[in-house]
Amino acid sequence: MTDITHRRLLPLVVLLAVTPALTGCIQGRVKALEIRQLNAEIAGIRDARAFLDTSPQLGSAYDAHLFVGGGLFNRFLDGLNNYEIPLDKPKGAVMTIERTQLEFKDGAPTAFIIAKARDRKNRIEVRLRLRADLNMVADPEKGEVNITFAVREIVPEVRLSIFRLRQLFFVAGLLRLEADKYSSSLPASAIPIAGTLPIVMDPAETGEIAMGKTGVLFVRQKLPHFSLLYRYRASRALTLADGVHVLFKLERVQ
Amino acid sequence: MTPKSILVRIGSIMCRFSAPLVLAGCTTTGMDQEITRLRTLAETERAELAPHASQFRETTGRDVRLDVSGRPLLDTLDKFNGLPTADRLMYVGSYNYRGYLQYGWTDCPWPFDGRFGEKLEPMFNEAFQAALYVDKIEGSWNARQGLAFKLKRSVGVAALALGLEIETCDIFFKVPAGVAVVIAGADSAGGSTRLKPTAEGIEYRLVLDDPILMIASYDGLTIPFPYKFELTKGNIPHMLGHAGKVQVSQNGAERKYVLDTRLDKADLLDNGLSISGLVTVNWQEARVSMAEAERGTNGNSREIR
Repeated sequence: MTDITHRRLLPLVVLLAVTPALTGCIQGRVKALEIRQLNAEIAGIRDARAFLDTSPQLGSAYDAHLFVGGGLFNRFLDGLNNYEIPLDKPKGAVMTIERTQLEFKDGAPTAFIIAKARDRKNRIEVRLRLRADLNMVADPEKGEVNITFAVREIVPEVRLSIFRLRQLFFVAGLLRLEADKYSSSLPASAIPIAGTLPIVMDPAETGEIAMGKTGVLFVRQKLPHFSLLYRYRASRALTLADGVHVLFKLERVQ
Repeated sequence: MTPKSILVRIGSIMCRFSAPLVLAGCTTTGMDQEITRLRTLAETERAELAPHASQFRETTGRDVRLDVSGRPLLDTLDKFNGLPTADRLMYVGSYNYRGYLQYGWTDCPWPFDGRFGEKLEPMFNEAFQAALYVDKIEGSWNARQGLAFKLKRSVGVAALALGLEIETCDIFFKVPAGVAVVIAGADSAGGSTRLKPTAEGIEYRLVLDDPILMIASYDGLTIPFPYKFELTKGNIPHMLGHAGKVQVSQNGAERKYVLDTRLDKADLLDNGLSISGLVTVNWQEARVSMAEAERGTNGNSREIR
């Protein structure tokens, strides 16, 4: 056997050994992630139930309740389509978000991010599934609810074949991505929430008084004027099958 | 290269590739069972949550809904009741009028035109003046009237200068007729809340339904002057602001959107009020690649419904 023959055989032997491991590895990672997500989902459901078991009422447990429908949420997220992120592994590759969708269920929503990754020379394209946790934080100072996705896993959706060597090595590179590193560069959106509620006692300056049934007096009226000011403070966010429910306490500031 | 060295090299390469994969945890033993168990548990927990969650669910297909406690409106009554006495005095004065209090006439005989008669009316535009003192406004919230309130322990002083307009076959002149004593009784006066959805949120109005009743007495004549007024009018913003943003590139470039919120439903609740509507998301930039976004390229706006 010549040295050249050895060099030709070598990748084949290696790939024969690596492919099953690689394929099994992808499945293992997907399943581990599913277990993690199911545990998070169960925790979310239990947390929501613990709160709802107290029969919270408007005016006592909370002062305001803003509902934002799941459909509207997903229309916000449509704006992220075609959003591109350069990857550091494999070098020069680019990931493009194709679709970001939240599936709302009682307890916790599931975030589905469908993306594709292309190599530096645009010769290989692999579809990716990003598993992410949804973080929603109310920022009363800025008057926003900030929504970010914490990427937990980048999973290539590909049927691996030893006859598509470039793809195999490209996928092997993608699997070495540290998903958390991309959390800060992935979809972030801010839903604006007004932070204050002014209540103004501001009666009209003019009015009318009926003079029996046959006449009208047009009057100027000097009535008390004053104002109260309240600030909304988000106290809890619940995600149910219909969307997001943000509960607020009202704090009188003036 | 000898066969032995080939095997050594393969082994080395396999270690480089496979070992990290194995270390990363590629085994799925027991995972399927755990997933099945957790899925069943999640469904059970979700089914138990469902009846508790029904009170919160939006069932009318709205994009956005805001329920607000009636407490801030109730607080306006406390604020009013806490005002200094002088500030709880209300002054009302006429600046114009239309019509009359009493009118009697007959046609002028031929060959004269016009009518012959007299009309009792305010002597001049500013003829009516009143001062009302409201000691207290009491109120409570209910789902039918919203904030229902009553003016309590109120007294009023009012007067109306009257004139008699005399018409003598197209010749008019007016003479003072005296002053009507007006008794103002406000204890029966009360009102409720009106809601109206607007582009900005919800407009609420606290309106007197049962008026402050004033009765003018003049020469055996009694004429009611029911005085209704709007205690206040305001707006509760829908909280969902007008503009938001999404981050569209790694360097922090943002894509902005403007929300077109159309609230078309307002309801009173047991403890507050509710508004709801639909929202259109208008993007201020077209979809762009990261490179374009980083260059700051703006495209045409688009709308997602």
